[in-house]
Amino acid sequence: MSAAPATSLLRPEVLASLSSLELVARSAVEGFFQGLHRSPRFGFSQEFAEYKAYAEGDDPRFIDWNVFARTERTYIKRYLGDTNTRLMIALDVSASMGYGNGAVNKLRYAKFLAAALAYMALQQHDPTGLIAFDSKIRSYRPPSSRTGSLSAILHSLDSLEAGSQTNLDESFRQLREHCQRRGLVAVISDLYCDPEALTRAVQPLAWRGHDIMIFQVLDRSELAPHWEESVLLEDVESGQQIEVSPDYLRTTYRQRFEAHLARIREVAARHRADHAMLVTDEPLDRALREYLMFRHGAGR
Amino acid sequence: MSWLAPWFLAGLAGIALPIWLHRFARKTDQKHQFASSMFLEASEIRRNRRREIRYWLLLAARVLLVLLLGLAFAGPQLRSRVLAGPQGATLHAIVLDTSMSMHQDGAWQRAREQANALIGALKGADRAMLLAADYRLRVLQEPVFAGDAGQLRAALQTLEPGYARLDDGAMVAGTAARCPTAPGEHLVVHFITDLQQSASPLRFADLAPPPGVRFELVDVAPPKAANLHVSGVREDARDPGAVRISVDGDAAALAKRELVLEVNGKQVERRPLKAGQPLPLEERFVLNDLGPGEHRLTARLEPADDLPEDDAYYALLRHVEPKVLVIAASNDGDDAQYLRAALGALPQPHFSVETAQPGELAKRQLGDFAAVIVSDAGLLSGTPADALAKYVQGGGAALLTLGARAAQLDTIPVSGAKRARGDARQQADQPARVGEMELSHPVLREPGTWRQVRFLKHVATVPPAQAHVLMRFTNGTPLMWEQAPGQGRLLVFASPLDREWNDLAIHPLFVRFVSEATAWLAGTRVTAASGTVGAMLDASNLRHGGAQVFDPRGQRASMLGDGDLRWVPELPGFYELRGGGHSDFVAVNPDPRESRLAPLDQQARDRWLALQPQPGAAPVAVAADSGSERLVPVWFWLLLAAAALAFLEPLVANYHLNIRREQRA
Repeated sequence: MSAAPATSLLRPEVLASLSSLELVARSAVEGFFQGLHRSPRFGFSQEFAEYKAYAEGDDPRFIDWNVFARTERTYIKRYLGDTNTRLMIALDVSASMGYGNGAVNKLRYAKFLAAALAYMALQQHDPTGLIAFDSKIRSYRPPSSRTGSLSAILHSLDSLEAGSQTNLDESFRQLREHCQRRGLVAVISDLYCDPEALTRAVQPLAWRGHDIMIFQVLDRSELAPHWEESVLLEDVESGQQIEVSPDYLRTTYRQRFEAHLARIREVAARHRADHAMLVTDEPLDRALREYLMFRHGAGR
Repeated sequence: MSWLAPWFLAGLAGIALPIWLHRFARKTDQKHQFASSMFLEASEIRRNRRREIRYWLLLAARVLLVLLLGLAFAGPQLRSRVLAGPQGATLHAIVLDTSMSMHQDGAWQRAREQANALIGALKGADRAMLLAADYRLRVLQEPVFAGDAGQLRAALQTLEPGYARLDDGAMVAGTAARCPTAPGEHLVVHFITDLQQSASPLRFADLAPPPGVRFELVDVAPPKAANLHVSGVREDARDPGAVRISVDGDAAALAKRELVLEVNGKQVERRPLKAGQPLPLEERFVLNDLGPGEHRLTARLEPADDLPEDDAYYALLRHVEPKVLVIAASNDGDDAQYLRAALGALPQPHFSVETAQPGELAKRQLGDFAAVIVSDAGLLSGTPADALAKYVQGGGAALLTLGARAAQLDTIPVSGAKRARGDARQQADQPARVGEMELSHPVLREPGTWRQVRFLKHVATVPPAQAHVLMRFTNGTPLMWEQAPGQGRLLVFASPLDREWNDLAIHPLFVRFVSEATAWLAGTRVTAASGTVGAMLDASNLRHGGAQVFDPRGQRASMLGDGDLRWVPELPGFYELRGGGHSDFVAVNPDPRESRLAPLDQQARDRWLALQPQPGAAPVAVAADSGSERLVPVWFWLLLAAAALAFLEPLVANYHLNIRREQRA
């Protein structure tokens, strides 16, 4: 592992070769930070903020024992990140997320992303939770920063499989019940839904004061499908079979897809949500960068 | 429409296969999963349906292919009505004479040409069939229309004349029965023959065709043919070391001919024949150093004449003198003397006769004798009776006559027959005549004279259940019967051969009866070892068990079972019967009447033709526009269409595959 360039570890096909999600998350995040250290533009890290006198209820793990040795007083070391918020990862596990033609399908890529986000957030002591949904909530883990939270989240991610159709209205209605306190909500989905439905889903969250990040995960073949001859395509969610011509896929389909993306971005912008489109053959660093920048902005 | 093999129609169920395959194929169309169809054009569904329509075309092609194959194998025949001419339809029966005389110079070639000409003249609703006539009448090709004349020509091409005799009367009688005419169809028999005079039946009236049948004679005999043939080979009665060969035929064929004698395949003498000498002639050949046993003699005329098939004559010569043991009470008794005289008078076969007392039976080596004749079965008792019974059981043969001594016994020795009781025993002392007889038995060849024999007394007996009674008195009492104890033969005659009980000995029949009975018992009948081509040959006198029959070419001709030892030889030469560890030969020659090539004179031909009904006197009135139905087979066209479909099907399927064979770029 050490012989490989650090950023190469963020490539999906490399991450896919790792045995566990924890290793994936650690490799992705540490590789990402190593890349950041070489760049003076990004000085944000686990930046020291202040010392705070230890009080009951504080986690004794965070006592700075060097200070105690010098002063015989117990202080807790606090960082800038500690001032921020809880992170809720909303992962779409609908059937369409199981689609993919490359080494990593969309759901697996989304799992990598969710694992990396959870790892990074828990490193900064952000309470992190996970909600998996398709037509309804499939898995829920409340936000927590306690020891073992990462393992629990990773275990939940590991056990997730692509399910049925997407129903944002129902899923986000249940999500809102679990996100009573303000925080950061990271939605990871391919967003094959009506943009109005997305509006109905995120608008209540935004109004409640949540910061929303939308990671739209797509496969390259969805962006630019290419077939030499007519092909019979089957919708993995509805089972509908349609024979389409190569000409149509080259022209009309792409136009419609671009229009759909534009409307998704518009919905996100309207609700001050951050939208990042991720393609499964791209490294994870862009997604993590988006997250850090957004978190930094949200935490201030 | 009719079907040759309607069971093949069950194969039409195979239509379900392509239908099922298409359903299955539709469900397993090659398709690719895609994340979402929300951006796909709805109009593409219509294009998908168009492809299904093309699949239906492929399905239709495949169903039609199975349908055509099933129908073709079922052999459909369409009924096609063929209009007859103003005289109605006619069935032409082309009968070819395949007797031996058709081998004569050019006759068969002309017969074929005439038959081909008749086939070629076939037209309209007329049909034709082909038959071959010699000792039997064979249908070579059933009636066909002119369109199928090729079948007639093919059957004609493989036909060759044989070596048997043709009787024109038998042919006329059999032809009408073998020719299945349709309603309203005339039957015309075209008889292609060399019109031998010797082929005429004994009764000229037998040549009269059945009603409604018209005969046309096609003469293919050469204008003039001279034939000479060997008519017989027999042992010289005065000199057993010599044979006499008879030659008969046309004197014109005598010139520059030689008579060749072969013994066991080796030429022993070649003798030129003198031209101009009267026929038949007889030549005597002396056979030196001819050892004991059976010898195959072939008398051949060389060079060949117009009919070479009868130039050779085959005969078997037995240089064996079967020994016969006569058991009598006294060597000087009437019965012993009569038997010795009768057996000694036979020129052929020549028996060596010994006479002995009953007490000597146990001392004699009975296996050396071909037969044992007992003048009175009542003489046998104790050890002699046991010895004779053992001899017969082991394959020997015996003739028992029942006399005064036997009349005193309740059970006849060796035979096991019981003395009759009641009226039959009382009638045994009354004069009686012969009544019922088994005429087919070789011992009883002259039934007429048997009824002239007067029996003053006889021994009334009840033969064993397995006995076969050959002769009975008018009152039903058995006079003679045959038994087969073990492997042997036993004849029992219920009256002695002296003159006290009957006058058989003074009838000419006596010598023949004794010789036939002894020869049959000994299995040495000369006539059994010879036969005629085309005539039933019975080998029961030669052997007792089954045998394989090999023809003169060495090919197996027949398999004879234990019960039936008859077959019909079809080739001249020596037939060999193999079985039971030994072989027997039978000499087979053509019927000598086939060698007489003299044709039927014109007067006889006219009389023959006058026997048939005059033209216009057809028994069945036929409408001018009547026709017959012809069955036209259509399987060929169905198979042709199926082959075309089989060629097109991959093209259509490949066209569809062009759409289905999508590959990601």
